Amino acid sequence: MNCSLNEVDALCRKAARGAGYSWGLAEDAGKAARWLHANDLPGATCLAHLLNATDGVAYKDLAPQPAGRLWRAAGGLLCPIATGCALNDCAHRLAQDDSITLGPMRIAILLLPFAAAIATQTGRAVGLSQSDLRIVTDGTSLWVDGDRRVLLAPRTADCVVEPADIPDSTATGQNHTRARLSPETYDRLAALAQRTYAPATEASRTAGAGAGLTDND
Amino acid sequence: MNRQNRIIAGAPALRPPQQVMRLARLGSLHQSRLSFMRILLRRLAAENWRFQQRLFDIDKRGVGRAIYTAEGPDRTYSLIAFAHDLPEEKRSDRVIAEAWDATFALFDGIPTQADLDRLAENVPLQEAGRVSESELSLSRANRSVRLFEHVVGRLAQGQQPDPETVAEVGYLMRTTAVYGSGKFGAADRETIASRPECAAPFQIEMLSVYLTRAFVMDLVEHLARARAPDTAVTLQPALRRRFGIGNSTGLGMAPFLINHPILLNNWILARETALARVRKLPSADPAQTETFRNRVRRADRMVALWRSAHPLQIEKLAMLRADMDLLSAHLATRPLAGATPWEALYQWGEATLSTEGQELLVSLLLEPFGDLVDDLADTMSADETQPTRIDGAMPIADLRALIASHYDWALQIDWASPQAQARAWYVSAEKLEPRLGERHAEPIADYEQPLSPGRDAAALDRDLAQDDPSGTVASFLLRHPQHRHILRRVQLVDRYPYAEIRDNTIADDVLPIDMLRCKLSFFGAGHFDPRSDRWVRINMFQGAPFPDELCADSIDDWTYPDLAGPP
Repeated sequence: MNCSLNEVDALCRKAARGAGYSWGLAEDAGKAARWLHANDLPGATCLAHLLNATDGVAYKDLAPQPAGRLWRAAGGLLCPIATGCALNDCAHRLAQDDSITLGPMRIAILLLPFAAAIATQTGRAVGLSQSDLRIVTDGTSLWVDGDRRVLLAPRTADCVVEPADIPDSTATGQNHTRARLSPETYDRLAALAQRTYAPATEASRTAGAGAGLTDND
Repeated sequence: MNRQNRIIAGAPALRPPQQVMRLARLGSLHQSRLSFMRILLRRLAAENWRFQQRLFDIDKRGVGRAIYTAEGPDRTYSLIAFAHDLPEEKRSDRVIAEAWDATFALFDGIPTQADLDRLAENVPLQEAGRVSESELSLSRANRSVRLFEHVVGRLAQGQQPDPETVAEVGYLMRTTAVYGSGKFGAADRETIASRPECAAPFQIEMLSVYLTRAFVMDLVEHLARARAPDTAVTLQPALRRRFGIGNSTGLGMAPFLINHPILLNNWILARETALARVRKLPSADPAQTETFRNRVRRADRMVALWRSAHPLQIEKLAMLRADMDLLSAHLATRPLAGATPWEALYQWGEATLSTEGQELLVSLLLEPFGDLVDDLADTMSADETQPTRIDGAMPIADLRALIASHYDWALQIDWASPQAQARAWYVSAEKLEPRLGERHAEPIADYEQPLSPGRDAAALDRDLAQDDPSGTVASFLLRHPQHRHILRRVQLVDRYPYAEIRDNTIADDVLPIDMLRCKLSFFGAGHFDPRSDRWVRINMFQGAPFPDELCADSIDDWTYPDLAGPP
């Protein structure tokens, strides 16, 4: 399915809400998926996988529990959306040459849009390192050293987020305006989004939309 | 300090958000120079856009397709119209309808035959179809059966329609939705936002409606000719201009203002800035004064012609007519003289007129001053693709101070009372449209949309009060993710003062039509005619010159009826 980025944003926001995230976190999830597709990365599919895994898991088990520079999840695996939001809220710390080590995480590529947002906010590029992979972003472009598919894995080991210098290598930029979603991804996200819709009742059919008068003349 | 705050600091005459952002006032706004239809027509005229009917392949039943192109300095846009023969029983203005008299797409460029064939398979289906990045908007319209047949019948007989009958309805077709920005696969606004002709909001949607109006007029004249080739005539130009395009707008549009806070801020800020500039003028020159007096007389006629069957609007119109009498009498006896004469007039209006009258006066005050205010049109858009970042370093005490400053009205509401939370906004599973339900009578609370900033800000404040005042927002949010949405808004409203409606949007007495009217007035709509507390009919482009009549010297006054022309 060939989708606009606004469709991806809206679908992912509703799906995250349907999977139990608060509206505020869901808004960031939608924007994150959108950002990834603008960079030709499969944001919607990754989010669908994440939501499948976190569906029914309590927020406190997947949110980071900061202990100094080390953030881990009480439930073992960090959610990249909750973690990304918390990182964004602490952007001021990263601006002060701090680094944060994140414990094991699900589908870490979903963290990238949040790293980009920190770079935009602080005006300083942000690096994300995980074993042999290092990605730097200035907010709009990405510099990738290593195999970025590592971040698509269902789980990754510790990774480090820190202020970074922009590498000399070639960047990939944000210039994609469409997203291709597989039917499976679309259907899964739509099924989660469906949970945010109230089942119709006779009262809602007549009163809810405010009709009742003739609308034809 | 951001740009918005600087403007406020430098312009003490800006009306405060506590005064402007109340639902009763937003629900009394009128179109102005900064309305999107007027911005569009000013550009089309100034840049000498060229228009062409490239295809008109419609049979005598009114079935077929047509293409209208608008060619500007850099690009061409095409309205592709599919006209259908809709059985009477399928005609409904509800957004949930499944068939229409005509369906449209606005195409980026000039469509090929392959594009046309692709769109013929999808556009008539509207929400059930898919369009592509080549399409910028998707819309549909239904005939006003009564007026449509009257006009075709009269023209076929060689007669003009009855002006009073035309005035009663005001349009031959009503759109029931105009979808833009990425909906159903169309191009995102961001892909065209950098084009000068798209700098102001909703220019594509307004262009689509403007070309739709031209198509509909051609359609009735075509059908009259097809019915009686020997006797049919075309519409007289002055009467032709009295036809707008109707629109039926329901609850689907109401959440827009809450869901797009920065955009709302930028619209209101532009209008308030324009008003402040006029109020500061040290004198009134004779030409400006004459233009103002002319628009007041014509607005008086507009108000006299404005009909509504809804009790609330009937009451408001009665007050507005009295206001116009007061304004006319005031202007007849008081010259626009002395220091800051426009300020004096504004102050008189604020002390004397109803809210409807005050806001009509605001729109009228901008009329003579295109050179002073029209540049604000380019400040009315917003890039909403980036998430609005939360300042996590902010101390809890500072955040509470923001709530006390911007949501004081919400902290004063007793949210435990059933009336305060009588309603809940939700999306219906059946039709995927926003709706407003009775929280205490329907099982909808679990599906509530985040459209009650006042209630949510008060709840946030209660939890913040339990926290360490020297702690940070970041730490609080990590423990209270349910407040993330409203906390973002609170910080945003501090930077964008007109971003928030400062009223309870879930109260038992909330009127969703107030939100609809605010948005539609910025579109440039007129003749607001509520059909219930949550559904309104309007007229768009009524009085506007048609594409072949556009002229830069006379593009400023079309929204007010001529004093002598047909009603």
